[in-house]
Amino acid sequence: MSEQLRPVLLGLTILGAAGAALAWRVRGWPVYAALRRARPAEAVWDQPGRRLGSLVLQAVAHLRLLREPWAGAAHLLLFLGFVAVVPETVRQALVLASPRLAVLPAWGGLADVGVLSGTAGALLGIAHRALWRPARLSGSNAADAYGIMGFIILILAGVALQQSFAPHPNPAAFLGRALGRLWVAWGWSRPGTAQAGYALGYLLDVGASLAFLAYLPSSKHLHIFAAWPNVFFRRLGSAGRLAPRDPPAAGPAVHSVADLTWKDLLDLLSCAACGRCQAACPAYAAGLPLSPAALMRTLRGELLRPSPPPGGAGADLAGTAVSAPALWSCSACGACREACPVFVEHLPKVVGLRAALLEEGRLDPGLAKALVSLDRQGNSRGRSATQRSQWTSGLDFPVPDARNKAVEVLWFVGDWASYDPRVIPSTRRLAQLLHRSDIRFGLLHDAEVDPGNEALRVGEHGLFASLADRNLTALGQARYRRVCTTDPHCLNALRNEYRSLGFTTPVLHHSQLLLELVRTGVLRLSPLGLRATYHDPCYLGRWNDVFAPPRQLLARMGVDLVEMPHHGRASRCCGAGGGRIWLADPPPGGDPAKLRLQEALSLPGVTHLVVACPQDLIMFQAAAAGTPLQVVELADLVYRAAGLDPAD
Amino acid sequence: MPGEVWILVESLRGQVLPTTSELLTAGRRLADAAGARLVAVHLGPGADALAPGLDGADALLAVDHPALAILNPDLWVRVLEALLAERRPRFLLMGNLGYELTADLAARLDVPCLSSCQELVLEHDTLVGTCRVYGGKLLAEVTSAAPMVLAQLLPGAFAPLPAGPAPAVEKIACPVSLEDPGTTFLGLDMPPAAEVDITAAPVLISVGRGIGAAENLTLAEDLAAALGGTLAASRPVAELGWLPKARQVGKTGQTVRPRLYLAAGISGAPEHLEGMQGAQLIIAINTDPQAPIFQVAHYGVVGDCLEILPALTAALRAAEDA
Amino acid sequence: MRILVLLQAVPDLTGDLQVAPDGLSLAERGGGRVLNEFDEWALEEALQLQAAGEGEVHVLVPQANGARDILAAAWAKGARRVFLLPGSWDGVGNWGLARAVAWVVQDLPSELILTGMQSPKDADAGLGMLLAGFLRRPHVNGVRRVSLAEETAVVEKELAQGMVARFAVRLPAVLGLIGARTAPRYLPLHRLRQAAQTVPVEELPAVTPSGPLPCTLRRLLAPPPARPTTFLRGDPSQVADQLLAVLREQHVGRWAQDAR
Repeated sequence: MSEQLRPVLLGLTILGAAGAALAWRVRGWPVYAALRRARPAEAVWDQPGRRLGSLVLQAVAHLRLLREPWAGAAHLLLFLGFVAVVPETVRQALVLASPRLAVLPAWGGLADVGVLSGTAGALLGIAHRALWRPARLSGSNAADAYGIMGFIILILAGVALQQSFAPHPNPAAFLGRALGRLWVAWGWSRPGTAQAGYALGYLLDVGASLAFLAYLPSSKHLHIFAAWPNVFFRRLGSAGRLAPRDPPAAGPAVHSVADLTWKDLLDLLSCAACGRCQAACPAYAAGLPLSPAALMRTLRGELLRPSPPPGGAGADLAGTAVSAPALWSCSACGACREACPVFVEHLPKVVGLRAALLEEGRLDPGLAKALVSLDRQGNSRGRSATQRSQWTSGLDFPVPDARNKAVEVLWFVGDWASYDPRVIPSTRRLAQLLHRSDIRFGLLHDAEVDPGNEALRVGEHGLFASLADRNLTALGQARYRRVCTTDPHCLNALRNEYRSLGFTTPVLHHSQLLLELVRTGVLRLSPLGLRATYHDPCYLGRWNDVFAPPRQLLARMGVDLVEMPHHGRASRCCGAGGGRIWLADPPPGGDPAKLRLQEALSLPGVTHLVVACPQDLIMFQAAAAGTPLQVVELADLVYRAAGLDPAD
Repeated sequence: MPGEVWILVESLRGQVLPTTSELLTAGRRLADAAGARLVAVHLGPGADALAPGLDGADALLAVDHPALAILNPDLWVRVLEALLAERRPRFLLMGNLGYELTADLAARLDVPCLSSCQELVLEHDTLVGTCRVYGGKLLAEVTSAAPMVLAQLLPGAFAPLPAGPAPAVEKIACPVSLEDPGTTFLGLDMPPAAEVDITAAPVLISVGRGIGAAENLTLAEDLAAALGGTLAASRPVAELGWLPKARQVGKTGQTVRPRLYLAAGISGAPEHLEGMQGAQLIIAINTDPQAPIFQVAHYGVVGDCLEILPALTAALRAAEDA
Repeated sequence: MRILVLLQAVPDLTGDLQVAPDGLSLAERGGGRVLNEFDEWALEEALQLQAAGEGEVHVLVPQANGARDILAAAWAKGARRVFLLPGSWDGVGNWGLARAVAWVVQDLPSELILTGMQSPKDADAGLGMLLAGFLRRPHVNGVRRVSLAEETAVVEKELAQGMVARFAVRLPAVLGLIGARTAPRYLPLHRLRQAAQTVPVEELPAVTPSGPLPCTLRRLLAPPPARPTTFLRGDPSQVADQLLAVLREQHVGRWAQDAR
């Protein structure tokens, strides 16, 4: 390389590096400062081995990303290309600065593989965006995406060009050498041309890389740095626990991004706006005014906003930047969290924003009534505690109070199964099944209160704490070995939320208990000969990993199970969760239950929709009115298969 | 001469309201028991035209002053206070106007008052009132032997009096100055023209808070369609905007006397019962067996209307097909 | 302008109400005491006026079970001063209470007193209107909206059949509320708990109701059914069949023609 060219390139490199550093100082530093200032997050260093493993599987091997094969492959090619090319780019710049550094090991052919892989990924990515046009990308910043693809292609072209004009090309750099031969064939082999070509390649490579670096802090592509720690520090352990172990002293309300933890902020910085959460969201699919991706985008915008928000620094995000109808569209089903390739936790943000709405005191009248009733009566139904066990009056045997008599199984019935006339028949049938099985079971009767799972998800953490306190007192007075419930929302609270409050007794879903009774031969089932589909309750499946027992139980009853398109981890919510069932005036839009029902109706020959959650029973029975589909609770089928139904 | 029994006339646009007729019944019983005259008291112009509607009263005392044409709380309290102080009747009975006037007058005159009475009897010289309290879940028996007692009667608790001769009208000058009123009438806002007149509907399906959510109204609509009925609502439901105000039954809504009143998820606050207990057939569906609506219902179902309404609709349709 | 809001704790009407052995009071069990529903409207309308810069809300609560929580809640919602009226008010009816309040409010100057239109324990009369009479102040009862001018309040009073009368009320005055411009605001429990710790309750000097009460509570009793209700039992479809039979028998709905 000529001695005239080197200082020019070096100067330009230093200039570019200074520009990038300035951009990071201006745009990146405030983000770092915000991370430093943010509220503390929960312990994130536990289980380091598992965390590293997860990092390898997710960040390197793209496990979740590859759930969408084409988009996943494009990202993997880009990622591999990047990993292969960046060291070579850095080396080129270093060697330029000091030729003695030429002793640094050359990447050689790997860089060229990277160029090819990256180019293929970028082209596939562009095609995916421009030709496939997946709906999940609606609302994402297309200019940002195309811009970045452009940067990448420029960098890659630069790397190849530079190699091809290098005075001493790396022997393994097959792409560079092939291009070099082409240049020679075209007669571009004079020293001047080669120097110009090299300089151009260098500037494209290093220059575009530095420009890219400078652009990053204000782009969604910051995820290439943020996603790594975000995956490493992700929530492990019980997914269903929402209540923080150490609640912030100022309360959980998120008035501004300053009320988020540093892990929340890292979530925002890691979000690449891929829209997978939006595609998975049942509220969005049903036409409700919520997109988890848009929520992330809005919060991220607030975080990166250089100036105070309109309306002054004190203006609440909830109800302004994030609309109240959007927040009340969320059924806390966790589909977004399940879909996110970088393990963003959306729900804590929704709940924090809801808590801010509650602080304002403006909320749906039905919701307000339910919350007041939870506080006063211990149930959301506006009924007195003394009526909680009224459903047992239809039984021909007494159900003991576990506070007076030691039992094997304490049945935590929950509000809906206790009070709602649409659910009570199923509650009674389960009682008869348990009675028939000679299981010693009991209730807390009027001492049971709603466990507060939804109160917490509505943003009313104080009410949750109060309800938990009342239940834990009653649970402490009773004698039992295990807890069973038909209500996944109760199960989630008892199993996950109460655990951090010291409650460690095993909690079973009735599907698990019934399966156990069938397996041990206590309950004998005869085939029902039905063709049915099964709806995974969010708080049983996704949040608590109970997928198999209900299906195994169905198999034991000779039910021909046909799965809906969305099932298992990808199951689609009925729309009732997160306190939405209490809303008197739900946000306008579609009905997630009707949407879900369409899936069941589309299955040929399926006559029954089996549910395993009281709220599902209510929602789907209403949605299925007038359709040929029968909605049944799992226990109802077991009751029939056990020969207890007098109608058979 | 024993103290008179007074009732305060309630009228609207020159018509005596049904509550007045109920006051006459209660007043007549007390007057007979005490051997006293029953006097109807009317504030404002138009007494002559009202007299025929007040058959059963022994006299109609009218303070004929245009400023009293509409209920103006301060002026009415002033005039009644002066009349009561001057003429010392034994009892003054009021209906709906009592919510506005009884307590204020009683405090000013330092005489006892009773609210929401569904029964009034004289035991020797002591008045015993049975008052509806705690949302109708309990009754309170209250007694007073004071020389003057004011009582506000629960509308609908007393049967109207059979017809009799019209009372003689005694018009008197306003006994007190109406200058510088504490309350000034500014105007009357009429409700927007109703798209339906629930008072004319023979069958009303009326929904209360028990319906849970606006979207569940379709259950009631379906039944109304199957039964040929009209949708009505309790105050909370109208207040939430789930149904227009014009469909509200009760004291601040419409008073209805349909052939069938089916109350779905209505607990039966006194103000609601007042508007519907004249219905010929009342069917109530409520989850709370103690709900006061069951005190006026002919048929009761302890259950959730969300379940009963569709079942009844289905049964009706099945019967239709049969 | 000072707006004094008079709030009362009343029994929670959810569930069973039972009469105590003395036959005169309620057995305290199950649901405790809660703020009178109508009073919630009064507080909300007052807070709305305060938010609009039209006044400062002061709250007065007679001592009872639950009174401290009501004071704390009002404080947390934005009331500027909260007063507790000590004493035992269960046996004296609204009459005795109103007399005591009339006595103490002379030392709590206010241009406007707001309270609920009625309460579930009004056997004698509503607290607000009694108070108006004792204070000889103009009143309007059954108000759903209040706006304030220099020396008057303009109010909307609900009448029958959806009609609304508007009045100008000379201040100082007493208003009984049946509604407010917005539904009562919700107070999260942790805010109530915090307020319960920090609320600066101003306890008024004790007053005993003077003079004999003009009427006496003889007994509390469960109401006999006004007419014997026939209860239909069974599952929904059985109930529906019985209802159908009733409608048929009574010639209602599509069987109306049969009667003619």
